[in-house]
Amino acid sequence: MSTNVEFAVQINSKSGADVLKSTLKELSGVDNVNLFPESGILVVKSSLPISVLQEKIESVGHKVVIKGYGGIEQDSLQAAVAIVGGECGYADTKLQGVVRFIQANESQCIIDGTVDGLSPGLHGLHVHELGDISDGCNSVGDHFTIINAPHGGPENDKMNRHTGDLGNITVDENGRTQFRFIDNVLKVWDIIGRTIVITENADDLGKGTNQQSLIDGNSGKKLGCGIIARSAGLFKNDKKICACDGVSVWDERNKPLAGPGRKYRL
Amino acid sequence: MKMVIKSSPFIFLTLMVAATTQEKQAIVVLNGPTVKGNITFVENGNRVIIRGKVIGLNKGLHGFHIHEKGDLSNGCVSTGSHFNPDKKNHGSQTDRERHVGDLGNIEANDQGEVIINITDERISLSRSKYNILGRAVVIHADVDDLGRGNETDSLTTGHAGARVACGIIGTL
Ligand SMILES: [Cu+2]
Ligand SMILES: [Zn+2]
Repeated sequence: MSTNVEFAVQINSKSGADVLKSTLKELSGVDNVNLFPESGILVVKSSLPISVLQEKIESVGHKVVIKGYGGIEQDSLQAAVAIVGGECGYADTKLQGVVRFIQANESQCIIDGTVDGLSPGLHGLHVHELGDISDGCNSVGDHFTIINAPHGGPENDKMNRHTGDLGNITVDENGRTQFRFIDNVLKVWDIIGRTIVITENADDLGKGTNQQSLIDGNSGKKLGCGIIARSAGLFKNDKKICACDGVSVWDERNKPLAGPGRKYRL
Repeated sequence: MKMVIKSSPFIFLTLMVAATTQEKQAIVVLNGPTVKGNITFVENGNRVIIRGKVIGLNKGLHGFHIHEKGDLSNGCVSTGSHFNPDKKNHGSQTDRERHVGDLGNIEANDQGEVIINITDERISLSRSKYNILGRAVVIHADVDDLGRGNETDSLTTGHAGARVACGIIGTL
């Protein structure tokens, strides 16, 4: 299942534009590349994690910012994003990441993310019911579920898992994971304002022998979390300059989200 | 909220009643480098009561708004404009002509603290068009002119300046 991602890119020459287009088209998993050099908009249809596309665009020398994602006809409720760790999420460790949710159609939700700062191996990924980080990741409640079912894995049908059971993510030796998968139970409109959590241990998907396996898959401590927020769908974000302080889309890449660093105006 | 369905019909009935009368609530945790605080939103009929405490502000008035998106991945740009489902101009909280996200100003005392206690009838935690869950609360450096200034951005942002704190509105 491919989705469209809309990027803002800085293009300085015709040859640069051609190199960018051909580089992306060569990637396996990329179906279509549309570049509008006048407006600096690039739309890529692919089945690759967004961060893989981003890195590829940067590797050929272009600054890039994600502007929107999803299908053209969709309203904004079908795209969501959670920042794990950092100033707006919460994490005990150096863990930091972004998880995006794209409702491709009535049944399929694409979960796309990048997380850094985890130990190599498997870590559980779950949506929890509350969007309350007043006590860090301790106040986000239990695994979110619409149906009163035991804990399970993402391959189970909706009667045999929590709605928010997304299984495990696999982290490489460098402490990084980039993932993209489809879930048929979770819907973006049900999880807005709730929290995504990454755990210390692997999730046994409810197949363990103890009682805890049917609660959280023995996935252990919550290492990091982020509130699931509304995000712009495709072509829904036409802003290039921040209305409140005149900071442009390009400056935002290196700016703190709030505080003294934001005080000057351009 | 997770509901455990017991076999007794009586318990089941009381749980149902409890669920239907339960107030919807939300929370924002502000955790900036200097500005911190918790703000809760409790829906009661068609009103939402906003209460909380924020510390670390400069003394004086600060614009207090809900922006359309809670997406902070690209800073202020990705939070969009003031939440404005009815396509109106910027205004004060009591104006008919206002953004749904226009909550006016909050005033910090000499210690940089503010106790928030606002009731609003335009924002909602249940009506989908006006639902604020998953959007961003933003506190600005400067006073919101409530659309009455002569600045170029008075009718869009109230000329409230840079952001000093932001947080995502989450389910409670
Ligand atoms: Cu679960
Ligand atoms: Zn406004």
